[in-house]
Amino acid sequence: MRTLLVSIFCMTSFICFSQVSDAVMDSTIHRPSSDFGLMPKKDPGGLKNLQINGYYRFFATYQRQLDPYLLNAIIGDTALPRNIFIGDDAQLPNLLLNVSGKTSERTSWGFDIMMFQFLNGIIGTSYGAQVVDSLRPNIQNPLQSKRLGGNLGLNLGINLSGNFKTDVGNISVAVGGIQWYAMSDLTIASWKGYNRFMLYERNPWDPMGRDLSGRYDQYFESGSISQDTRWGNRAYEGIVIQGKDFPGKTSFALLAGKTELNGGFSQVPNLTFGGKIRKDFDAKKFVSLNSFNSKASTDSLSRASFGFYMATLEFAYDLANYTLKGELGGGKYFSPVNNAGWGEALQLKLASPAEDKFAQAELHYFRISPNVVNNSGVFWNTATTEYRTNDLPAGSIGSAAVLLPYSSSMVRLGQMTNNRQGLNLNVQTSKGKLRFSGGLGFSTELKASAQVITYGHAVNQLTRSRFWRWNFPAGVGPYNRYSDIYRDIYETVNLSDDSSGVTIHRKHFNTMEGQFKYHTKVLGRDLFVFSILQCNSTSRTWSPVTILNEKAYIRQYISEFEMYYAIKPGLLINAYYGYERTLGNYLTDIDEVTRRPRNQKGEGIGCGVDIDMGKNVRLYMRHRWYYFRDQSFELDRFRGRELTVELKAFF
Amino acid sequence: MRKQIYILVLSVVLLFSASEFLAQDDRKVNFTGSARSLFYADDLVQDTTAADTVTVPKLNSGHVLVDLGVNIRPNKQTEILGMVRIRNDYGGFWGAGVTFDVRQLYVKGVIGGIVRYQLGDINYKMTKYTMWNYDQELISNTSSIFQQQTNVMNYDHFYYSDYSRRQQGAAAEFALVFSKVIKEIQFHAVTTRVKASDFAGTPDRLFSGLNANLIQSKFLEVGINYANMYDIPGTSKNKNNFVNPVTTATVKAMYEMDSWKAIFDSEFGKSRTWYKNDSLAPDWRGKFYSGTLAVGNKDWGLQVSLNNMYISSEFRSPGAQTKRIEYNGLPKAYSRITNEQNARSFTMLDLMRESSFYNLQLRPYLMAFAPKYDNITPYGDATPNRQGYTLAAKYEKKDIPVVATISHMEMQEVRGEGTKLPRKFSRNNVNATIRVNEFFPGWKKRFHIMVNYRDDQTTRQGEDLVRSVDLSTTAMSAGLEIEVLKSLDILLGMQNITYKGFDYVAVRNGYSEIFNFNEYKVDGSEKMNAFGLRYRFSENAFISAQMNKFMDVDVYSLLPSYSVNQFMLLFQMKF
Repeated sequence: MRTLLVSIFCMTSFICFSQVSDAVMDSTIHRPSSDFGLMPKKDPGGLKNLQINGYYRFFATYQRQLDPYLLNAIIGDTALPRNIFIGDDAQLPNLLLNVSGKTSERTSWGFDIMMFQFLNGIIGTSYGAQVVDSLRPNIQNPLQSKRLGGNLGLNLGINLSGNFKTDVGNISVAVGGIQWYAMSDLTIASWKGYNRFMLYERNPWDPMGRDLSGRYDQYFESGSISQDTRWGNRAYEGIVIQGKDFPGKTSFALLAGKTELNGGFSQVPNLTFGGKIRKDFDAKKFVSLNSFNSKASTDSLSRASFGFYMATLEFAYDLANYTLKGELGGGKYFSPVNNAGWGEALQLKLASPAEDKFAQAELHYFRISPNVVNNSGVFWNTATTEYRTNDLPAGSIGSAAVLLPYSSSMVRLGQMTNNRQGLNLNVQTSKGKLRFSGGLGFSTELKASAQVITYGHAVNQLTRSRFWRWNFPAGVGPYNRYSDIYRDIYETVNLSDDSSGVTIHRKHFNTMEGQFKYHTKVLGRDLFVFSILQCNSTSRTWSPVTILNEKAYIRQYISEFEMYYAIKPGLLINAYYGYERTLGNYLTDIDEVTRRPRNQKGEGIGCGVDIDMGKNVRLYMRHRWYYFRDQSFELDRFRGRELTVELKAFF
Repeated sequence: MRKQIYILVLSVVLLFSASEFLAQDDRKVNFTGSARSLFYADDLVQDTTAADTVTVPKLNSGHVLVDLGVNIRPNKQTEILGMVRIRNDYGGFWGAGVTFDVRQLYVKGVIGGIVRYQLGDINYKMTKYTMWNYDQELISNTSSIFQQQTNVMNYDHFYYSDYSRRQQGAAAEFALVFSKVIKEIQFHAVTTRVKASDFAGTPDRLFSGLNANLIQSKFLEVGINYANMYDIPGTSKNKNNFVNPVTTATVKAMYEMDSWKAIFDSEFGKSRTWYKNDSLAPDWRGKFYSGTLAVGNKDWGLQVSLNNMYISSEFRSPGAQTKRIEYNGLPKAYSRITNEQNARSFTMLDLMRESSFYNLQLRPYLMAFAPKYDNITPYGDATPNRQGYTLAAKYEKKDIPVVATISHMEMQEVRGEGTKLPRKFSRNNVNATIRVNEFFPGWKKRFHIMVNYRDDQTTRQGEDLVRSVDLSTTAMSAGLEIEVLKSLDILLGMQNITYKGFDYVAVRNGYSEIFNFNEYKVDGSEKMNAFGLRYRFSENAFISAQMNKFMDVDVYSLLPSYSVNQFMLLFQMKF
């Protein structure tokens, strides 16, 4: 104690002394460096450029369920009559801040901070209510608790990037958290489709457009709307090195890291890696060698592994404004229980000139072997049962089941799957205020696959997916045949035309799709009408067009219409109508009571408003009446209404 | 006279104030910190006849982090820094594996234009025997390729090249400038909190330091230093309170004539270590002396120095003797190997990358050390129970791109441990850095060579029941930096340490008293060869990838010979 007092006294006396002394006084901060005391003596400098941008998004859902729909038949869980939910899926925060700093002309770092707010009335020292009970903050001892767990975090993580010029080309390097990256359809990319979708249900990442009508106007004029950086890309974590402007118009990319499918903190090797080397001849001609591969250890000793190899040759060629694009290659899936060898994967697209006055057409052919599995590409795996490091049921923490799709899926026009070859024809044309885009396609399994078909429900798609929150269970619903995935659900159909359990019939798939877009002025204000019509079937006999009779295992007809009308500047009203029919034949599941196969009808009616609340701030409200009933399966029915409110601000 | 002083002071203050003002960023807030991405892929290979079916041989790990410091200037005299560390572990998607924490927080400024202060996290340094943060073993003069990993460790633990220690507390300093006889007197004071009371058996423990440094002229500097680590009585129910004051004086005399320069630099002092109200505790009074005479000639680029030192066995100075490495413990990576899962001991690979071994807290006792790495100066110059001399020569000449040093140390214990005979130590050290490209005027790209060699010997004659001691350590390292394209370097490195012999290691009780000895017998080597590429975006940003092969052999170890193949990717930027 005496020493302490002496120390304090000394310090105090120094200060006092220095203030009254006749001697010369000076601040040491102004003095030449002394090799003693406080370090460092020199200012380390600092960052001169820090940027913050992002968005705020409030999203609320009110669901009124009029029937007690059975969510999980095993435990007898039914949908609640009323459901209020503030927030969106687990990855979609209320506030996203993108923070980036430029440390030099050529290097920068960035990260994003996301904040969640559920308005759940749990008010404490922090938004800690979503943390499990044992880790909840104690207001008397907040520092000893996990306070950041539930409501604050990084979404994409931290990224570091740099670029440099060499005498032969430019190289950029990005390392760290999630980067959005696409190489080619068969290696790593996400499916964009033919830009045929409804705008009534908004995605969290949807930009706002220059004004209220802008988004709809752009969709009408160009057939697509501006999307954020993730559109068409895949989340990739690790290092990405890209080289551009190399001699002979060559460029390259190298990747090493993880996709979502091999994410996790186990230190046992689990990697995805690949790269490409590309040569451009001119703006419309190029050739590129691409490869994308995954390898993960199945055991802690790394004695066995599973994963895939994928290698393709991608090209584009233009002749008389006819464009031929293609990707040819092969892939192999391997694991302790899979060793079918390499299989072929290819797609070719021949497109007529875009300037054609009558219509532009595109012919798309694809063929992908069942041996080719790559869940990072745009095609789905429908034929190979993938290796699982655990057998946890889908929906359980740590389960890999939901990420490993396996069954014959009815997909939209242009969407590819493995174990299939197909041909799609798409056309688009316009006349006056009307735009049309549509096509038809057929595809056939290369070998008889599982006795299972899966399909989705376009009408009330998001509403259905909100029945199951925060996890992605499989085999739920009244008949255990629904599986919940990210912002969607799909239904599983079991077939009975096998031979003692062996699938003997190859399945054939047909799709027809048509989209109409109409824009006019009513009372001097913009009116947009969009619609999508779909007609799909799966059968065991080949047909060039959709089968409309009971020869099809499953037939599905979908009609959706939406309308947007700007009644005044800053206020836009909208309406939606969707109708869907799904029919199964007697080779599919039969209800034990009615002795009939699926006979489903779904309907959605909606209305809403878009309100401009000032620069970069919008309010979107949607109200939907939904209805679904399977006439054969008595328990599979629900009806109700749903209100969503979204307030979004970009900055 | 007073007027003259006043004018002088005013001129100095205005001059430096003006330059400070111009240099200072006018913005109230700016940002400082660091960002890095670090990835390791390791593969363990064991030299065993039966395959190890238990140990996980291949491990991948990594992280990305940003240390973002917000520098706030509420006024021109005050600066507040709050730094947040945001870390994202490799493999985490959508926010999984993210941690946020405070990395440092302090306020600093100038009171009345006179007293410079800092409160909160501070880095502080005094003299080599009062408060000094000596380098960890084996890292001095290693090649660039190995320094990359070591620098990450040092940055994370606030180990700066100025040998300052990271503390939490307050410090103030100011100076008085005189016009005659004395040029300047600098005053420094610091008090930090080493440990907080748990209101039961652990009292509050503080470290305080005082210094007055008189600069008489460019020929003479004299300083007095006081450092004390002490418990505050009454802050816990424990009445036994540790106290360890160290008082030293420094004298530095310099003389220059033509191209000749001579420096005499010395420090001497005493320490006392005891526990108040504890009759069982020792009461040690230690003393030390260290004096170095260096003579150099600028034209020749040569400097020769002779140091003589004496540090008694009872000399204790926690500020100077606390080590960076805590040798008690197991590495986290491959902590147990072989089918029997035998514990793996610390190696130089772990020294480069195992964060959990690094220590920041001042310790009231002598920490464990690894005799195979350094048996002579495990606590730096402040190692107790040493006396002897060091003869050194250094070559460094302007416009000649070679820096080389050679030294020979002869030491012995002041007092024998477990016997009356003291251990004798000798050390030879040679290191050189050659910037080869600068020999050729047209060769702009860097081509640097670095070599380092150290040879240590510890001996002691045996007695009836005490074996003779004979422990030798040889450490060698060499490195190459070759710039093949602009800012793109190939890095090569080799580091090899061999050790052989026998010694006794003291076993100490809670008061740091020796009560027993363990036999220490080694015969092995650790080797590391590395190859890498580095691209320098700027002075403060680079990306580097390296392959590194580490091999460990020890005849007396329970473990087989093993090697670790390591791939490392490091992208680092500071701002």
